[in-house]
Amino acid sequence: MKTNFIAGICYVNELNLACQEVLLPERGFIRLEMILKISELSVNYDKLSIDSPDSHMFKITRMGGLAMADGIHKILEERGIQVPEAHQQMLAQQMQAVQQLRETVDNSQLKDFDMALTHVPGGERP
Amino acid sequence: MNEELAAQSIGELAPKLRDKQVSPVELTEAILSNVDAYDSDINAFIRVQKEQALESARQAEQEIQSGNYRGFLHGIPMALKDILYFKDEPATMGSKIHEGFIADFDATVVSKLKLSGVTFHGKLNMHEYAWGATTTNPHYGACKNPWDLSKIPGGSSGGSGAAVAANMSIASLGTDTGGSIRIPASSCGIIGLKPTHGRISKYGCFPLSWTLDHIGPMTKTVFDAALLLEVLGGYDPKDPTSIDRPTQNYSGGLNEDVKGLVIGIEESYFFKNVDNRVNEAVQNALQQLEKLGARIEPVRIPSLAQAEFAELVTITTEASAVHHDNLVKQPEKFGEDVRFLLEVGELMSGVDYVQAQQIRRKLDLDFAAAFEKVDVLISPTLPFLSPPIGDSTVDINGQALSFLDEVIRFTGPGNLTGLPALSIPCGVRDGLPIGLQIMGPAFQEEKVLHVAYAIEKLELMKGQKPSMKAIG
Repeated sequence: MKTNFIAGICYVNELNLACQEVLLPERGFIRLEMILKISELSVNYDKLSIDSPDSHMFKITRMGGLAMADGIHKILEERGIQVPEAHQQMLAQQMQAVQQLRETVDNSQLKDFDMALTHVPGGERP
Repeated sequence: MNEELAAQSIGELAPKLRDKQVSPVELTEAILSNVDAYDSDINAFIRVQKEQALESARQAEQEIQSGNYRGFLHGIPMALKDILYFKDEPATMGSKIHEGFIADFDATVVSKLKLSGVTFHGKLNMHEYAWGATTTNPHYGACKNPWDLSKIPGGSSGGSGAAVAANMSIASLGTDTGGSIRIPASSCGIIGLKPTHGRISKYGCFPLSWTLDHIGPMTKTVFDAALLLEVLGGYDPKDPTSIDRPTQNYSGGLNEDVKGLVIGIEESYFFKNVDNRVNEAVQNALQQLEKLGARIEPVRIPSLAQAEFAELVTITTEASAVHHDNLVKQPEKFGEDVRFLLEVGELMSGVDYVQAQQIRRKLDLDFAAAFEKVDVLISPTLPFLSPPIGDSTVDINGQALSFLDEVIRFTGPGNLTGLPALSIPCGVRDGLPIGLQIMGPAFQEEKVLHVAYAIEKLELMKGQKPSMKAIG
């Protein structure tokens, strides 16, 4: 289960890119399914993280803390994105603001709400 | 005469074109003459297509003369945002990266306008890839607000707002992901309608954020917006988010009677931290509606407290997915602000995205509950007056706040929920127009248009328009 939480930090951009890969061979399809599962799973188990805020689990299920600790530019560079020096400080500030917004999200109030994204089997709406 | 002609609305011009009192060529020439006179200052156009427009106007004239009048839009000159595809024509999306891109099909909205006999005379400036709200475009130059050339016209559809306000296009279309129709409509003193998500096909519109993007009309009058919605609305199997719901005769159903209408006000969100001048103009409109028999009802939508998080996460991540390859391979070709926002989107987590969608579900249900008690919700469109070009902060009652944070605060919920929302001018303060936002229940654009029409009849603008004599 812990592996799933660790995987839960996957960037949403990975998720979107994986969705684009759905028509590609088997590897892409498996990646898509994995990313969707772990992202949603991590949402459902987020309460555990809140209950033990000092745990590694908490630190890794929320990108903000990780990004701030390890250097945002390194994370982006690992994804092949060159960050101009002038952006590094701005990005850190922006992610701090995002972190503040995250704190407005009370997961316990969201638990009853489906994410409501629909996938239409066959590709056509009835 | 030319100026007067170009200043008219579709509703005014259409009967004259139909009855051959005005020729489409004469009208197109009047519009092109304004483009010549004003656009070197305003910079609303990325490309002007004079010859093409005149040829199309001549064809419209011939058709009307021979008794083949196609309807209200026949012979009406329009320029559209440069994010909509015209077959075999360039579409830049306001970017350097797509500078040489030629579309190989028409957007569904373009096809519909072509069938209706619209005369196209150019493509309009916009915020790069629609990812921003200033239209200070680093590649095609800053678009300026016709009311005050030192101020932004709003965005991302700033060229559309400025062109309509300056009578360089009779009407236009914009796209709206966080407010990009309503923000420039408010800033430029025109009508901007974002219909329900799924009502107007997005096929052939370059995406910013698939689940938040909308296309809608930007016009001089509520009647024109209603008319364009009738033409553009409807199911399109080519757009996977299109929804098959019947459209209505929106323009025919307009009336100004608001007796018994219940207007909801969400004070804790939509009236918090608003420029006093904006607040005063919106409150004045509400009082006038009350005098006409409408009832004002306070409502609470608690999940709005989380709307900013949901909007930020959804728009940044989806936009970064759209542009990921170019951000890796040719980042230097993006403007600085767009590149920065794309980097931000790369840093959001899967958990953030899923929670943002859960919040959207909660917002959907909370808004639906509110609309069981009220017919529409009214708020300011923007909490501030248009700031100077180049400013990254806005002044709200002496407080300097981040433009980016403030600009979509009131419009963003309409994108998250997909509910119809319209901005209508409700006054001028310190030489700048103020927009009032009307939101309605899903697929009930007629309610939003009805209230907008009643507000239009109040003549709160007192005939004030941009002073074109000072331009050109």
